[in-house]
Amino acid sequence: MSKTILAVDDSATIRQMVTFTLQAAGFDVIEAKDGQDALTKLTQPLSMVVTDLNMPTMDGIGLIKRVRADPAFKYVPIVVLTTESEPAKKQEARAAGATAWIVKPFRPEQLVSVVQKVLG
Amino acid sequence: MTATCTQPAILDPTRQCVRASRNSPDWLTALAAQWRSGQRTREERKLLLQKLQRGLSDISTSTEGLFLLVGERLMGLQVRAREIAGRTSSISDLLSNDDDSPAVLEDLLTAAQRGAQANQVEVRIREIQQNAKSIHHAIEALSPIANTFYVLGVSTRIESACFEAGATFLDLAEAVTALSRRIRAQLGNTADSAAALLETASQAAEIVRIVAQKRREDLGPLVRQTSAELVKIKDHRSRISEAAKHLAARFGAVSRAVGDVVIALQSHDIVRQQIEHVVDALRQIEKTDDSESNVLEAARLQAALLDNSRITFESSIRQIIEALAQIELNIEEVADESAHLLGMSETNEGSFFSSVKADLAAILAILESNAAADRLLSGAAGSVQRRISEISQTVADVHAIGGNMQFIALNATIQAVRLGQDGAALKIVAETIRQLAREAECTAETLESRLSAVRDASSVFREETGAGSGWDEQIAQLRERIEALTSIQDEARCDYTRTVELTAGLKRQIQETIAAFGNQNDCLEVLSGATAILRQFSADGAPADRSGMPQMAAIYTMHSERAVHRAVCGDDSQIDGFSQAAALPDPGDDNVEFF
Repeated sequence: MSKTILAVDDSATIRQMVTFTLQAAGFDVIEAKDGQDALTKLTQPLSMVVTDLNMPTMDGIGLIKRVRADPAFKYVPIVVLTTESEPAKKQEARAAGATAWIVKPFRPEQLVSVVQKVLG
Repeated sequence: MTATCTQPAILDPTRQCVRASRNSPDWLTALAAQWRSGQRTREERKLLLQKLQRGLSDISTSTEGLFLLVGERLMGLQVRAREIAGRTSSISDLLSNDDDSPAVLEDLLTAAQRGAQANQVEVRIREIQQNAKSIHHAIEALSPIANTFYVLGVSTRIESACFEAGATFLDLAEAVTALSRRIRAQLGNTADSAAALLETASQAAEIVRIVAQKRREDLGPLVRQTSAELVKIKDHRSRISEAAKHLAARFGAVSRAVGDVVIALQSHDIVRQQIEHVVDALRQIEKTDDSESNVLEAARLQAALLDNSRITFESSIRQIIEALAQIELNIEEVADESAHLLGMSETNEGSFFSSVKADLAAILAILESNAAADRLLSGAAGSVQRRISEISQTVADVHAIGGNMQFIALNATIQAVRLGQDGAALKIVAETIRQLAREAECTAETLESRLSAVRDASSVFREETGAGSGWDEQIAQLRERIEALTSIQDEARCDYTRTVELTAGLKRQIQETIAAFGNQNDCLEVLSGATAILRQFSADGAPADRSGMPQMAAIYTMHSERAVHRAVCGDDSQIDGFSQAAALPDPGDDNVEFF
């Protein structure tokens, strides 16, 4: 059975690219347009969450905190995929419970490699 | 890319992207003209900033749809490219897995040819034929003996009347006559059997001669021709395998180019965020009560940021166009090679494969006629066996008659001695009987010897032509291999056709994508035009006041934005940093961090 990854980004283009890349690597992908939307998709087992940081309604940090607070998703790896590269932001995401950090733009094989590494 | 500046204008204040006004949308051209008119009230500035905000937001929205479309087509293209790569690889695997088919066929053909050369049937039939003739002669030789016996019997009967011991002579005459009749009766039947044996052998020899001639004249050349054609099939398959590897490399290149497009498409998100930040900043500038110099400096900063967005946008567009062109080139080559492969399959390969099939069918026909001939010969072998059995019976009878004659001759000799002078004639008769009996025995031995030779030859003949001859098995194997070869070849041909169709679809898809994407000059013009207007806007003011600049940095999420900010608001030593940040970065390993 293929693993399911939740891709969260307010940019439709980025969601499309993440989905395209991960599906081509054999993963199932669910999309959400922001943190709030992502919370409504936490209704099935997930192997991983890939989220942007700066999003309307609920940002990536807020989403990470909410996911970590949910016992069902407490240990689900969360990869932050963002244009942000400030050390302070990285520290904030790490403290919130992020597993890895990728700065956009990403190469498809790079994203797949990170996802595979995190999923072990 | 007609309306672009090769480096940020902020680094070269004398250089303005004035060409923007040539192709810019009406609203931007009007705005630029209005601004140059010199009327610069606070309200006018506010209006200008509002119009710029709307225009920039529109660009962000309108380009997103286009980028999504390209992304969508890219996905379809990738899926189709994978399907083609998979199909090409499966053709190669299919043919490689069937590599032994031509080789096995060749072995079968060689065995069929060798079997024909080594066939001993012809030799055995000749042996049977020769011995059958000898048997016929031997049986003919018995006929005078039987006649002499008969004459002897009649003569003895006549002579018996002249003697006192006539009864003894009469008994001898009757015994001799009875034996002569028995021999004559046997000879009649055996002569028929010998004639039938000779005829069967002659017919078999004719069949064998025709089969041998067919094998020599037809099978040999056909096998050689088919072997040469099978070599062509093997060569063709090896070329396909090479072509499949080449195509795989092409698809690898397509995959890399798709990766480049994926990166470039993401830059739209970067540009979108940058434009959003500029729009937010313009909104703040529009609403602020700051000093005019502060406002103008903020506008100058936004012009620099917008120019940076344009550079990123331009760079990504160039990257997309180049990558799409690269994909198109590779697909074009894939299409050519697939069409070439199909050409090989349908024309050259098709013609020599048809020829192989025709030759193999002819070989099968020959082998089948051989099998039919073998069945006839097998029947002949049975007939020979029956004749041998019949003649054997005669030989046994001749032996028995010979024994009886010797016995009669012995009795006649004893009687002759007993009769003294009167038995002199009887003695002559007894001697003649003994002589004839020896001749009959001698002929029987000859017959026995010939029969034994016929029996041996017939035994080998029966084995060679019987169920164990292997023709049926060879035919079945050959038929099976021909069917397998044909089926694999047909399957490969279907795959070629589908590959060519898919590649043609892919070609159309990529051309449509390239056409849909266009050159994006309009968007670049808008960004250049808006930058120029903002630059004009800020150029009119008093000396820069940078006191409010640090607060604006809070909105940034990107390294490039911070670099531009430092370049505009900091010292000149940061300019190089800005230049580097402006280019679209190719992600390296340092953009990943594991916590």
